[in-house]
Amino acid sequence: MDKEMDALLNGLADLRAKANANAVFGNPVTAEGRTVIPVAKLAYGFGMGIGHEMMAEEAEAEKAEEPQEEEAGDSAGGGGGGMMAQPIAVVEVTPEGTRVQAVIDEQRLALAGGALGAWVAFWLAWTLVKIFGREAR
Amino acid sequence: MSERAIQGRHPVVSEVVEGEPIRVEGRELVPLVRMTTRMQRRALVGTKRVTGQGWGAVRLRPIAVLERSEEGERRIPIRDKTAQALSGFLLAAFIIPLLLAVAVRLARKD
Repeated sequence: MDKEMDALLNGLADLRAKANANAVFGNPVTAEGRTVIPVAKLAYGFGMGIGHEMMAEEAEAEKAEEPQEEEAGDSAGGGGGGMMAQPIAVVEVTPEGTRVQAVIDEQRLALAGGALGAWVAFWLAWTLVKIFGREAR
Repeated sequence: MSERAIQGRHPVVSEVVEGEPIRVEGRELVPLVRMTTRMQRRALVGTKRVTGQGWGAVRLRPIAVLERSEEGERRIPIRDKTAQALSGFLLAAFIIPLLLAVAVRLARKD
């Protein structure tokens, strides 16, 4: 069990080596004399946990460093992960040159703009009440 | 009962890495990516129980493309305009209430 645990946790240590910088650039697509490469930002994460409780005989055997065919006791483990990819630009390559065109997420901007508008309206109303509400009394 | 704890806490590491070159139209495009990683692992090895847990997170953000051609090398920045606009909104959301609070204070002084 110790060895399995070490292997699992050492796998985490190699996280940097396993991350691939090319993952953020898509495959080039050529059409009508121009080549387009999609570019995205990427984020991913994961977590896991594992546990093993030994029975008395297994603990004794491990203490005596005797090999056991089967591990007795209860084991449990679990894990999960998630990933997010968001397009941010396209690289356009033409015979004239290379340029980067930004991709704007209009839906997110509209939602954030709406929230900001509501926030500003609230503070404006608060300001007007504080300034003119007192005078009216 | 003796227990041995193995801990590995790796700080946030952020560095710019070069990807593999992409060859298009006689040019070589080299992706430049900011890679940020963070991880933590912990194990408890005892005589009666063994437990382990860990998590990790990786963020890859493209920052530029290096264009290598016969004319030379050129760095073309990649900007996340959506993130820039959202940062501007967030800044405005902090500054506007502060300005309005100052306006209220000035109005009360008069």
